[in-house]
Amino acid sequence: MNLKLISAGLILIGLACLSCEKSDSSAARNTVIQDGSNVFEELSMLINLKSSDSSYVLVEKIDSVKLKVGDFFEVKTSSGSVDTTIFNSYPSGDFNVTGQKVNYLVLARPSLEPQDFSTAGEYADYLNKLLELKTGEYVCLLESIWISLADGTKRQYFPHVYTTFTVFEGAVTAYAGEITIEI
Amino acid sequence: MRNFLIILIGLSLCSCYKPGKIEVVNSIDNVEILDVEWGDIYLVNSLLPGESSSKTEILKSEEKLPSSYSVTFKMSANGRIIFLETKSSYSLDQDETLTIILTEETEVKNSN
Repeated sequence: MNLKLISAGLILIGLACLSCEKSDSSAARNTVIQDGSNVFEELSMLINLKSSDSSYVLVEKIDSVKLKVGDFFEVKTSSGSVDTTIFNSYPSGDFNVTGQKVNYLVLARPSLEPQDFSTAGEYADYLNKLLELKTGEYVCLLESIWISLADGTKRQYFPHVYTTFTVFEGAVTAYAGEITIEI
Repeated sequence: MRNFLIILIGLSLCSCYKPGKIEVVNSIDNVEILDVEWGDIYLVNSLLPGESSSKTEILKSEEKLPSSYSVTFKMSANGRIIFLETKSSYSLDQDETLTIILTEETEVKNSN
C-alpha cells in the first residue's frame, strides 16, 4: 500500500515538474555588438580666422561649421569656446582682432549617441546611421561657418576649403589638421 | 489500480489545457529582428522588415497560461546589433492567438 502511494506521489511530482520546467536564457546582455569593424566617432580639426591685415579674428566660438566627407557624412557643429579675455584684442573693421593666432577646436561627430531613445524606430535610426570608415585617406570639405561680428550680429562665410585626413586601422577618430580661413 | 487512476486524472488534466499561440511581425523599416523571446520562450530566429513569424504554440510544459511578459529581441542593421526589450507586457491566455507587431513606435528599452 505504502509502495503504491509513494509511486503515485512520484508520478504527481513528475507531472508537476513538467509543468514547471522553464529555460533560463536571460544571460547578461550587452548594448551593441560590433562585428570587428569600428564605428567612426569623431573627426577633429583646428580652424583659425585670419583677417586681411594678418591679424586673427577673435570670437568666442565659430558657429555652424558645416563639414562634408564625400558621400560618407555631413556634419554641422560649433567649435569649442575660447576665453577671449586672455588675448590682447583691438577692433578692426567688423571684428575684434588679435596679433596671436587663435585656433578653434572643432569636433565633428557623425554618429548618434545611443542614450535617451525610447522607441524601436529611434534605435533603428541609430543603427542605420552608425558610420564606418575603412582605413584610408579621406577628403573633408569645410563648406561654411557662421561667426559673430563685433556688434553682435552674425555673418555666414563660405570658405569652401578642402583638407585631408587619414583613418588608421582600428581608429575611431581622425585629425584633419589646421585650417586657416581668410576673412 | 490507484496508480492507474492517478495517471488517468493527470492525463485528463493535461488534455484540458488548450495552448495559446504567438506570432510576431516586424513592421520596422530597414532593420532585421533577431532572437525574439516572450518571457523566456523563444519565438523566432529572424524577421526581415515586413515579415511575420509562424505561430508558436505555447505548451503547458513551457508556460502556464494566462501569462504576461515583455518581449526581448535583437535589432540588427548596418552590421551592428542592439539588445532591446519592450516596455509593455503582452498577455496570452489559453486558446488565444497573440500577434505581437513590433513597429517604429513600439516603446523599448536597452535590455542589460
